[in-house]
Order: sequence, then C-alpha cells, then structure tokens
Amino acid sequence: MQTVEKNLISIWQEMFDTQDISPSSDFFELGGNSLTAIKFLDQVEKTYGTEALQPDTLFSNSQLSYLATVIAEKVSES
Amino acid sequence: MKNIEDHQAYITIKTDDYVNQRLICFPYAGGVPSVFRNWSQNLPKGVEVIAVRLPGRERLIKQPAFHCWKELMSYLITTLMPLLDLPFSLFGHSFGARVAYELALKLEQENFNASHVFISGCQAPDKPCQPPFLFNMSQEEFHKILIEMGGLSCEIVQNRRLMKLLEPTIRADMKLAELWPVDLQKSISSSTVILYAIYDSLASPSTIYSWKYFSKSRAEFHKFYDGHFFIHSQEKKVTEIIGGYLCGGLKNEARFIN
Repeated sequence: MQTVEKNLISIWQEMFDTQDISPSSDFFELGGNSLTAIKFLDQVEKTYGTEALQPDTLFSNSQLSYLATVIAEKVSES
Repeated sequence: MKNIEDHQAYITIKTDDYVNQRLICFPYAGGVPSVFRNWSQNLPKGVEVIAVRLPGRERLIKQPAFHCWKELMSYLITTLMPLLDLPFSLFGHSFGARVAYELALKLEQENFNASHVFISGCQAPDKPCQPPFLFNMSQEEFHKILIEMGGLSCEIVQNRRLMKLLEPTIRADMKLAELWPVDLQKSISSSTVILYAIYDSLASPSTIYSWKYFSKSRAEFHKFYDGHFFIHSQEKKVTEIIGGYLCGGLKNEARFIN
C-alpha cells in the first residue's frame, strides 16, 4: 500500500505541478477535473490494470490515501 | 484550490475574513463548482462566493441527479438555508440561471429576498425550449452536440468510462432545463441583471429581452460578444459586472430594454 501511495504522490506532483502532495491531498481540491481525471485514470490503468480504479470511486472519494487503499486491494486480489 | 472549503453540497471560495454578503452560484448543465474557482479574485472584499455542487457529480456522484423541479427546490432550500443569514445574491448560467430564478421565487415566498439575481446565458421564461430536445437525443447525436457546444472537450466525450458516469447527470440537468414548467404569471422582486452573448445559439438575444417581464424591478442587460460559454471566455468581465452590483454601484454599460 505504501508503494502505491508513494507512486500516486509522484503522479500527482507531476500532474498538478507541485511538490506539496501528501496522503491527505484531494484530487478535486488540487484542481482536478474530468480531463485530468482521464489522464490520472489512464496512468493508474497502465500501472495497475483496468480494474484498479473506477471513475466513480475517484469521484466519490478523491483523497489520495483512500485511492491508494482501493488500488492496493484490487492489486492484491488479482 | 487553496483556501477553498468543500462542504459536499457546495464549495466556499473565501475572499477574506470579514464576510458581509454571499454570492451563491449555479453552473450550467452537468457543471461543477470549479466553474467558479477563480471568482474570488475579481469580486469585492466581503463577498463570499458559494459554488453549488448538485447531486450526481464529483463527490456526490453516487447520489442521482434531480429529475424533478419541486424536489430540487426543496433540497436547495434545506441545503442553502444556513447561508441565508447574510445578504445574498444568486447567479446562474444557462440551466443554473433557471435554478437561480426558481430559487429566488421560492425564497421570496419564505421572505428571503436575494439582493441581486444574475441570470446568465438563459432564454427568458416565455421562450421555452422546443423539441427536438437535447436531453433525450441518441447517444451519438448527444455527444456530437456536446462537443459542438464547447461545454465538454472531445477527450472527455470520447472516454466511455467517464461518460457513463457523467452523461446521466448532464441529461438530467438538461431535461430540467428543457422541460422547465415556468409560471408566466410570476416574477421576482430582486434587482435582476441579465447577462447574454450575441452568438449564443442556446440563448440568442431575441430570446433574452422578455426577461424584463419576469422582474418587478427594472431588469438590466449586459451584452457580450461571444458564444454560450462566455462565462469562461469572458470571466473577468462577467465578474467585474457582478462585482459592480455587489458593491452597490450601477454599471454604466447596463441597458434597459423598453
């Protein structure tokens, strides 16, 4: 889970052009929208597979630590 | 978005610590609070900008969007009531303008009068939308029109997984807008300001002027040389005009339609 979290942090650092990303960072509060959601979901899919993160999960709770948990669970299932 | 507080049903964009009035904003069909993310920059001190997030989007994605005006109004009154302890104004663009107008009417019945109601990019109540409607178009046509209107980028519309999530909400909002059961006998008492764009195919100038009949005060009109999404392309001018009214001043450019 920690590696997933670290990985998400670095993705968001690049995406939002800021070093100020932590597990409590929120995708939409950082300025994320549908377009950046696509980019983010694409990157997650490339790294962790198609089922790792669904759009509605991202939308309903967009906190980094939560997303990392969801992805880690999916990864350990497969 | 620093200094922005997310309250689920709405986002607060603070300008400073001393808030003396609120501007409650409703975005277009399918829209989200980030439409207004820059608005604190151009509005006067003391104005707190509230951007409403209706069910069916972002963190409220699991709640279905409203399909019924009566239920939407009940929900908004309950949700926004805590914000009405200070003078407030309402702003809405397109579908959001219909929401703002209906809400202003309902709130007046409860003796809550908006200082100003800003109607943007929206046909007057006596100019109803005519079929064929957008909300029940085939998926292909619907996607084509969304891209043409410029409200959603091609990339989003072509992303199946995302559109599966976003489309029901956009259609629900549009259905409310297009089947708006307006009462032509009613009008609002608040200062009414109409913002419109001359190249707006969804709310062309000829459909705008009769807004004057739906306000008991003298409606003021501001023209933009742009298309439907002038709320974005002319954001600075839009917020300057609004700011002028919230300051208590009358913008020189306002026209009165006689």
